[in-house]
Parts: sequence; C-alpha cells; structure tokens
Amino acid sequence: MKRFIAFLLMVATAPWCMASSENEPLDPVYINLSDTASLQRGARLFINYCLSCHSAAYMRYRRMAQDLDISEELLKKNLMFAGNKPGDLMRTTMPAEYAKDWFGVVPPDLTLIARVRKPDWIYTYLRNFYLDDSSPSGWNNNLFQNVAMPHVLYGLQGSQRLVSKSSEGDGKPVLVVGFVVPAEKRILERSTLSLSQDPIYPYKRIRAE
Amino acid sequence: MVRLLNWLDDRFPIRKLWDEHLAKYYAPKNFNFWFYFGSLAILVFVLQISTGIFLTMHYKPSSEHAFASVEYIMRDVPWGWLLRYMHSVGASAFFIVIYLHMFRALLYGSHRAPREFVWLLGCIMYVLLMAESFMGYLLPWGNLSYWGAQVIISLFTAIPWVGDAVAEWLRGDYVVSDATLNRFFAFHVALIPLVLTGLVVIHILALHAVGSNNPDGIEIKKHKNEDGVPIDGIPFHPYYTVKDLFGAVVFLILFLGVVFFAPELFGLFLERANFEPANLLKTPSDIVPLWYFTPFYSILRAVTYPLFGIDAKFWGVIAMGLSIVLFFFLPWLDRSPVKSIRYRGWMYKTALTLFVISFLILGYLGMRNPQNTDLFLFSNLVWAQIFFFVYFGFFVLMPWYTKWDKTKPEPDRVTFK
Repeated sequence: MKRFIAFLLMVATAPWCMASSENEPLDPVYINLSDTASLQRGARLFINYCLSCHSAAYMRYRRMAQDLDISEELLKKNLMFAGNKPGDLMRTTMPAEYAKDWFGVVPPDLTLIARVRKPDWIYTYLRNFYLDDSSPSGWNNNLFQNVAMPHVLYGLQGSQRLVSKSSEGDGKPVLVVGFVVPAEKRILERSTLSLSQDPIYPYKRIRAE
Repeated sequence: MVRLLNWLDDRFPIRKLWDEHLAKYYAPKNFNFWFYFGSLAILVFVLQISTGIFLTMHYKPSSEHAFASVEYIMRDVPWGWLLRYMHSVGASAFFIVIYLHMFRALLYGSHRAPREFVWLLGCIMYVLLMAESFMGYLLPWGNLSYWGAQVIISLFTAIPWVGDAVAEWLRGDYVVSDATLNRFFAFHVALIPLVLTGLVVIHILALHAVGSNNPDGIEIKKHKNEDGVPIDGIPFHPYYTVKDLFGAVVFLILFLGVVFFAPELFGLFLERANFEPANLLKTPSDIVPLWYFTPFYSILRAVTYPLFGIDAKFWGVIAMGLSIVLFFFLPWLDRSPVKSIRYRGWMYKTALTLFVISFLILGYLGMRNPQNTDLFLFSNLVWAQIFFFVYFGFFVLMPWYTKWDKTKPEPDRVTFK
C-alpha cells in the first residue's frame, strides 16, 4: 500500500516535471474566474478590439452573456454591433478573402486560443508589440516575430521600441522590449463601463480627444 | 414480487444465474486493494457507453462539422460539457484502471494456469480498447487527432510491397479525410463496443468457471467443506459487492475531481494542439499519442537500425507489435512453481520492478522529443533504447529467471497480510 501511494505521487507529479521544461519565457498572468466584473471588462475589450477581425465562432453571444452575468439588454446595447441576434455565433464581420488580401492570412478563430496557447502566452504576446518600420503594419512582436497583426491595443498600452541588451551570462544578445516612446495619454479609462461603439477603428477615440 | 420472480424463473434461469455469479460465487476471502480494478473497469466501461450514447446524439461525424459539434456540445448542449469531459477523462481512467488490473495479474499470477483463457480474453480486450480509444481520439477532429491518425495509419505503409495499399484501404482515401472519420465513427460507436461487451461477459464467465485468484496465488478450491463450498471462499454478494461499492465511491471521487477541476490534466488527457481544428497544411510541432500509448510509441521510435535491407520503420512497427503481443504469452513464459509475488524470489521481484520502471520511463520518453536530453547523460533516444531492452528482457528472459528463482513454500490456506 505504501509503495502504491508512492507510485501515485510519482504519477501525480509527472505533469509538473514535464511542464517545467517549456522554453518560452512568458510573463505569468493570473485570471480570476470569479471576478465577474473583470471578465465583463475583458468581454468588452474582446468585442471592441478583437472581434472585428477575429471570430469566436464556437461561442454564441447569449452563452457569453449568461456565463458573464450580462443581461440581454446590456448585451444587445453594448456588445452587439453587426445586427446579430443573441443566439448567433460570434462570427467576424470581416470577409475571409478581404482578410487574406489585407493581412496575408485569415486571422484565426479565437474561441479556443487560450486552450491552444495558454493565458500566459496571450498576455505576453499582447504586451510585446513594438514599432518596426520594416514590417508592413509598422509593428512587430517580440514573442511572435513578423506576425501579421498590428498592435491593436496601442491606444491602451502606448508604443514601445525594441531595445537590445547583451546579457552578462553566455554573452548572447537578448532582445528586450522597453518603453522608450512614452505611453500617450491613456484616454480610454479602464474603470468606466462605457463601451466603444466603434469596433473597427479603436484609435479614433484617441484622435477625437 | 415473489410471484413475478417465480414466473420469470420458470421461463429463464434467473435464480440460477444470480446464485452462480453473485450469491453463491465463492471468492477468496483475502482479496486486497489490487482486486478492485476488475469491477472498476466494468464501472468505467458502463460510464463510457452511457456518456458516449448521449454524445452521439449531438456529435456530427463529418470533417466539416465534427470539431464545431464538439464545441457545440461543450457550450450549447445542457450538461454537454459534463458528458464530454466524463467521456474524455473516462478514456484515460479506463487505461489507468486496466493497467493496474493487468499489474495485479503480474503480481499474484492471475494469468497462470488455470486462468490462461481469462488472461487471453483480457489481452484481446486490451488490444480492442486501444483500437477503440485510437478511433475515438480522431472524432473531435482536432489537429492532433488528425495528425495522430495520419501517423498511426502510415505505420501500415511499413509492410513490404502491400503497405501503401493497406493504408489507403484503411483510410478510404489518400490522406485521413471525411471517409476515415466516418468509418472510425462506425467502429468506435458500434462494432468495437459491441465486441467488447461480448468479451467482457465471456471474461467473467471464464473467470467464474475457474474461480478467482487471490494474493497468495493458491487455489481455494482445494479445501472444500461437506457442501462443496471452498472453506476460504465467501459469497461475492454481499461481501464483495459491498467492498467494490466502496472502491467505486473512492474511484468516483478521484475521477470526478479530475473531471471538474482538471479535465485536461495539464495537457495529459486533452492536449493543447487538439483545440485547433484538423488542418492538413499545418503539422503540429510534436505529434505524440495520448499518454497510454506512449510506452509503445517509444518502442517504435527506439528502433533506428535497418536490418536485412529493410528499413528501420518496419522493424520499429514489428517491435511495437511484439511489445503488445508478448503479453498474450505470459502464462506460458512463466515457469515458476508459485504464482504470487509473496512466495517468489528476488529475481522475479527485480524483473517486475524493472519492467514497471521501463514501462513508465518509456511512457515518459514517448511524450518527449527523442533528440532532447530530458533525463541525464544520454539523449531521450538512447534512454528509450536502453529501456527497450529492459522491457523486452522481462518477457524474453522470463522462462529462465522464473525457473532459477528461489521460491518460498506456498501456504496451504489463504493468509492475510
């Protein structure tokens, strides 16, 4: 019996031993699934910034609203822009052939992206865009080199440049992203629940102010 | 009620069956922890069938809709997420239970005479279970499902001359496609469960004909009282039905703990790459089977030398097949006069320990890139090759080490430890 418990412990700890050998250095993020207000803000950001190009086509608006404790009235008023019904799947309004034309790739569906990558990856990715004149969009990403996506959250984060720094250890140059261009005024206040009515051009509000 | 039972009993031997298999089936009184896993395997089997039936009602077996229909089950079908997670975790639980059930046989010699037929049936069921889970794994039509099936079916191309034709016949296409998905669905939900159900019944009938083994590996039928009842036996019902019920409760606590709190089990039960739909143009960076196949996958990849002018892939497939087929021969490879590990000498104990270690390490290495060095000193490939020989050594050398092994005398009657 003792030996069996030892065996169980070994099996139970095996996934952690294996998980420890990931090579990407990711910034850890802690998602509190019981903080409904935070999740609602996330939905607002997602719909305003992501859903115009990306779809979440395995998810219905109503499912999301129910899971995040959003009333149907609020959902229709603030989170649905393309004349959909609450029972519709969260598809993108951007036709795939146009997307291919504009970006070179069709932006992937995001319903399951946190399960395919991991929350840490998304968090790191979204915060690692930097200005790059050589790229078609003017942006590049330190985690996902030469990604077709521009820095959509620019208005929230500000812009940054790539600073190279050689590390002391093995002498290999390590690229780090640093804030050399100071963040512009954070115009979108994170605390307000007002939702952008303009999902396609999130930058416009910055210019308007 | 009694009249109804009498009416039925006149037309069908219900009382006889009840007595033979439950109320008057005498099982040894010294069963220990390891004897839970037979009844647990039945429990998991029933869970898989019942959740599977409801999943079938909502799942669409087509390459266009399969992936979306699984996500539809997860989000829109009431309690669909629970059915799906119970089924996917159940698949892994099935293998855990079966591996422990098989290990019990190796511990106490349950596969030895007179229970060879029970063991053979079990081995056939194990192979069928592998086929069942492999085909079921394609159904969500995730990218790893797809490429996993692609790789495994392509193993058949290693057969000289006819390999390509065989693989094409299995797939029904040149690549894994809608045709493959549909036939796998038919096998997964109809043919294999049907055959498995029949074999489970025969497995139990065969067991009840010869009687259960016990941790001492001795036959309780040698000592019977004047009624012909083994002195060391107790009726299965109520004694072992109650014991197994306790086991079932503990099992369900653990099982549902995983279902509710960690259904992916950190990528071990549901893999990240499988949350992307199947994509013929996008090969996942690491194509690995689920954990329960990885020991055999390791053996397949460990063979890197071509022999007799035939390339290594063919020999890898042969080795992998052999690593499973050898289980069938265990009752005859074992020459020890005693059955239970309690009365065996150091040789068998060492061999079994090494075998379990090699199985676990090969399983671990099967999930890793062979070129990496995840253990120490050597690359994963070299370690897999070392444990390849340990694994096969257990079987191939068994006739000798079990014969030379110094055994202790078996007791006359069962003991409690």
